[in-house]
Amino acid sequence: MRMRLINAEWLKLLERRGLLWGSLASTVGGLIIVFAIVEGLHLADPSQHGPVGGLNWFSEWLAGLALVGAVVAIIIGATAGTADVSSGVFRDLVATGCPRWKLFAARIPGALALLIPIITLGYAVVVVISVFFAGPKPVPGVSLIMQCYGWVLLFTGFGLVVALGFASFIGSRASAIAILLGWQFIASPLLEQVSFLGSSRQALFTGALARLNQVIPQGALSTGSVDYSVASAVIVLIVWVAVMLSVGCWRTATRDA
Amino acid sequence: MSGPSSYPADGVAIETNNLTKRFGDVIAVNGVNLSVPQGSAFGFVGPNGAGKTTLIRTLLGLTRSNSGDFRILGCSIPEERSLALARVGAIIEEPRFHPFLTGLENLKVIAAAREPEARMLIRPALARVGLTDRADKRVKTYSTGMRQRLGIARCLIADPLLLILDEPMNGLDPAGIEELREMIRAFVGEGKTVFLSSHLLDEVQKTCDHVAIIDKGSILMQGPVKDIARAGHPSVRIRCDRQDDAAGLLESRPSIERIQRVDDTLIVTIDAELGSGLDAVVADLNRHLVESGVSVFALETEDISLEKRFLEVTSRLETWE
Repeated sequence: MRMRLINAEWLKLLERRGLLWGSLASTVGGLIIVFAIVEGLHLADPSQHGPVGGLNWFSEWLAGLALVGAVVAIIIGATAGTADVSSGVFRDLVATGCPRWKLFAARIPGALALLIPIITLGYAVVVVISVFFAGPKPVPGVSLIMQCYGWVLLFTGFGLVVALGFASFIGSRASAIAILLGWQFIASPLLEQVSFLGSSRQALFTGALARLNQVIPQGALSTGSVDYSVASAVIVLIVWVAVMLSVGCWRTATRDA
Repeated sequence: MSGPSSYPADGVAIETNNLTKRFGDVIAVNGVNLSVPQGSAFGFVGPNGAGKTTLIRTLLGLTRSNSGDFRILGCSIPEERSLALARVGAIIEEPRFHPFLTGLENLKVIAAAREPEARMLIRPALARVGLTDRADKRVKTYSTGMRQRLGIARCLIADPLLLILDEPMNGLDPAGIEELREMIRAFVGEGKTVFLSSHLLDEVQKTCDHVAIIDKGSILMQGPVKDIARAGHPSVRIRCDRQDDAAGLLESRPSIERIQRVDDTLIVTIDAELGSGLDAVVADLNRHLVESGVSVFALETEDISLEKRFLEVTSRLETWE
């Protein structure tokens, strides 16, 4: 993989100021605004509103970051998957003779390079709030903090990769965002509760993602109606990523530029 | 720079053999055999929908041909596509860019898909097209002419042996067209081959050495511009009295192919084979009319142009008449 291609993909996303600032505002900014409100309530009436940090609140903040981060990841992934086609530059990239699969592959690390710092910044806010505003409550330990950092990167990174592959496949950013948000936040939770679908519901990735985190309360990210082993959850996620990247790469390689 | 270091031994920059591209039942490119000599400015002309852009898109790998084969800079496509295109710069239809990136950043994006040396050629390319001062401005602030120039700069970072320019004069003002024409001639002077697709026949005639005319997906003719134009039918515009009598007198001359009456003028089309002896034919017509008592007020030969030849051979003739 050429590093220059990855840098170019990152640059294309970074220079979309609306995307960058919107992503930062909705993750970091959103957390800070909610924190300001609940901390204000705590300071105004500590007897009714306890400290906003500590282990219990940590899981709530983490769930909030994961949900908003998933939306941001889908938007960034869909943008990365369609930026060249929608701007008309794809044909010029193809006309350089660079293999199309390389053009597609470079989008993944390029987009992750934008998402990861945003999620990391948001997670840093979560950790600071959870540790320094805990009052007398127990705080999350270093091991848990690192474990949950890895998970939130997995959760959002998964959303980005799926969105990138899917958007590259259908070629429309807006449609990809709408379909994936609808799938993740409406259709998937509903399908999880359709009991006659049985074990086939394990193909849904929202439950699989939630299974890999034991801190976030059940129901925050998934209805928890479907049982997964860790192994089956990992397999489900791998299959989703493999299928979405395959169809995205195939379409990139075969579409008329 | 990777890719071919020089032209192939046969001196042909682009060669297609029976190249065909279909869209469903529609044949957009029909068994095209094209030969573009190296170091030439090669005009590629045809009516709208004739198949020009489809052929260019096929050459560049943007769409796949259904049959036939072709070589670019001596490299067989698709086997050696990456190698060939490493030394090809192209503008396809209107040049497109990421509007929120600067001109410089847009070139960096394309350079990233090329060999590392391409990055070193960005600044010289911007300087050559006169965009150094605007390189750090976002492309969405560029005029059409500036985008065309940035498109040329994007071609130059390939250090191209071959430039494929599809309608590069679209949207340019006369000064911009003149500037581009000079640039193309300069490229040819440096030994580059320029494949210029355009519907501006006058510009093609002024700019190019060779030309191919395509219509309905097929190449109707190709060769040096002078030879193609010369093969056309010269004509003479005659203003005189007793036009009916004059027309009757002229019809009997062996050198005449057709006579049309437009307002107060007779347009006399001369046999193509007599084109080289046009002066003698005109003198003969004049003498014949005068000796027959017709007063000739004006007699003017029309230059043989590529445009006229184009109209003669393409399907647009009937539409335009």
